[in-house]
Formats: sequence, structure tokens, C-alpha cells
Amino acid sequence: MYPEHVTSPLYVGAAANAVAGQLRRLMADATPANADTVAWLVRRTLEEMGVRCGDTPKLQDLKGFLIASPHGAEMVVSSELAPNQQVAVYAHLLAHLLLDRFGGSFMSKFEYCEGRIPSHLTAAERREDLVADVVALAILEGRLEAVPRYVLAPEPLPRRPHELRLWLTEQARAVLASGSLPQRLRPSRPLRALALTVLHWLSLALFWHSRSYRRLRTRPLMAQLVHRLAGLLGEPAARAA
Amino acid sequence: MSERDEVQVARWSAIRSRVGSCLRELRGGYSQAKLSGDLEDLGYHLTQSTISRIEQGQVEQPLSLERLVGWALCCQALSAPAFKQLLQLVGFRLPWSDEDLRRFDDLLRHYRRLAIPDQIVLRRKLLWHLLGLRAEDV
Repeated sequence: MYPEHVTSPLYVGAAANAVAGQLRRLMADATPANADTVAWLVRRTLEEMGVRCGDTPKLQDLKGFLIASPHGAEMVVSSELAPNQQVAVYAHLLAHLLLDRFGGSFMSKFEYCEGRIPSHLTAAERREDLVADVVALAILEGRLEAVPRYVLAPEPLPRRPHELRLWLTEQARAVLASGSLPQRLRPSRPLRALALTVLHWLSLALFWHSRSYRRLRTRPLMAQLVHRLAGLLGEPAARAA
Repeated sequence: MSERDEVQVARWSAIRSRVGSCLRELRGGYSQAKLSGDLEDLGYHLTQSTISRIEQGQVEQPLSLERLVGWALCCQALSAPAFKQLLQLVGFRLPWSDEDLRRFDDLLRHYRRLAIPDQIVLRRKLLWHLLGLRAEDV
């Protein structure tokens, strides 16, 4: 039985970390694993995280698809694909699951074969595909530090305007209550936490809307810089999967 | 033939014409033959003549939730007012909001442009989610 919370943002982030961690360990091994083993391991990891994986020889226009609902998440890939291609499809669908914070009860995503992408895709869907490409590559390379923190974890910023105003007001009160800046050598914890939240949010917004930032963000040096800055602002180091 | 309660028989007799009308409305412009074929792809056994008898209110056995959902799914009419009316009439309820059902229909409509085998695979998976089943339950 699959847990019904498997599609919650926190759980999907954990699934992405688990898959990326497995792939990183495989790449670090002295003896390279064969493609079948890698595909099998990725499937097992996803299934252990609550995502049902299946394949079918019947798909023609699709390489695979994802359906997620309160009754679980399911990925179906074409069994005609080579194992490394199947792994790429799993990674891409997982990236979509990370990016789509679906407000309703149901979502679906499709991976189309080359030349079969329909013309009815909206600009937002095409943009999400470009962003998912980058996230999927980060998963396949085992380098999730190359994507913004809030892709993998729920962002604390409320979406509705009046809730956002309330949140900002609370943060401002916490900062003011902790003491004024000139009297301290180091910014207060609430101020650092607020700065960190804003920086992560800005990083996420740029990641979505700027191709240049996506290219920059995935560079190892940039990932290290972001990690160092977050550490200076008091963020605990993330555990490697 | 299994025995049915008199109350069930009486109730079904009273509503089967209206059920048939709703299903006819859901089918819209789709042919009965096409609907029969689509339902068979999903694992149902409804011939064209059975579909005709259902729509005319001539079927003695009450229709199951699975058949009603399969019918609406094949007709891309899960969010249609007639389907909501139909479920209320027979006393069934799906655990989905109107918005979700509309998204299901949109998905099915967009998906009609892809190859038939792909459509069949997706429709089967969607059906389980609609009915609240997990694949391993089947």
C-alpha cells in the first residue's frame, strides 16, 4: 500500500534526493554498473519512496507518463526504451513532480517522443519543461545542490497576498524584537532567517524565469558559493542522501 | 440470475429511463459503436446493442459505478452536469471535486491527438485513479 502523502512536496523532495544519491553512489563506484542495474535500482528507489513504476510495450507517441493523485503516484515508461533512456524518463517525471506543486487533487505529465510533442502546449508548460530538463539533469548527475533549495523543499512563503503580508509583518516584528542592527556585531537570528528565505525565494524565481541563471546555478562553483552564503546566514548543512 | 430485493427492483425500474437519458446525453455525438469499442479497450463488455438498450431504459440490471464512470470517461464527460445528475440519481459519489473532473476531461481531450495505443494505456490508468483504486488492488 502506498502512502497517500507520497505527492506532498516534502516527500517528493526526499524521493529526488534518494534517487540522486543512488546515482551518485553508482557513479562513484570503481566498477561501473551496467545500464540494466542502474534502471532497476532507480525503479526500486522510487517504489520504496512510494512511486509505483511500470512499463508497457504499447506506447508509441510517449516515452512515459506520470499520474499523481491522493491514490498514489504512478510512472509508466515504454519498455521499448533502452535502460538508460528509461532512467532519463524517470528523472524527468520526478523533476515535474518536484516542480508542479499541484493545488488540485490530480496531476499528470507526459514525456513525448522526439517529433511527437503536441502543438497545444502552453508557454507555461514549455517553460516548465525547460526547467524540468535542468532539474532532471541534476538528479541524473547526483548533484541536487545545483538546483534551488525551494525546488526540493516546500517554500515557507505564503502565496496569497494577505497571508504574505501577515507573514512579512510577523518576520519584521521578530527582527525588531531581537534588537537593532547598530547595537550588534552580527545580524540577529530572525534577520538572518528572513534574509535566507528571501534569497532562496529569489533564487527559485530566477531559476524559473531566467535561462542564464539556470545555466549559472548548475555550475559547481556557483553551487558552492550559494552553499557558503547560506551557511554564513546560519542555514544548517544539508545531509547527502 | 442472482435474486434482487424488491425495493432495488422497484427503484431501478423507476429511474432507468432517466439514467438512460443521462447516458445518451453524455454520449453526445459519439457513435454507439465507437463507445462500445472504447469501453472494450478498458475491459468492459458492452456491445453496441447493449448500449442502445441502456439508453432506452430497457436494461433490467442496475448499472454499476464502474460502468457509469467508464462511460463518462470514454465520452470525456466527467465534468458534464448530466454526469453529476446521473450520480445523484443512482446514489453514487466520486471523491473528486468539479475542478478535478474538469481537468480529467481536459486531459482526455488533449490526449485524443496521440496514438490510439497510448490513449488506451492512459485511459486504463486514469480509470483506476478515478475509481480510487491502486493498480495493485486490481
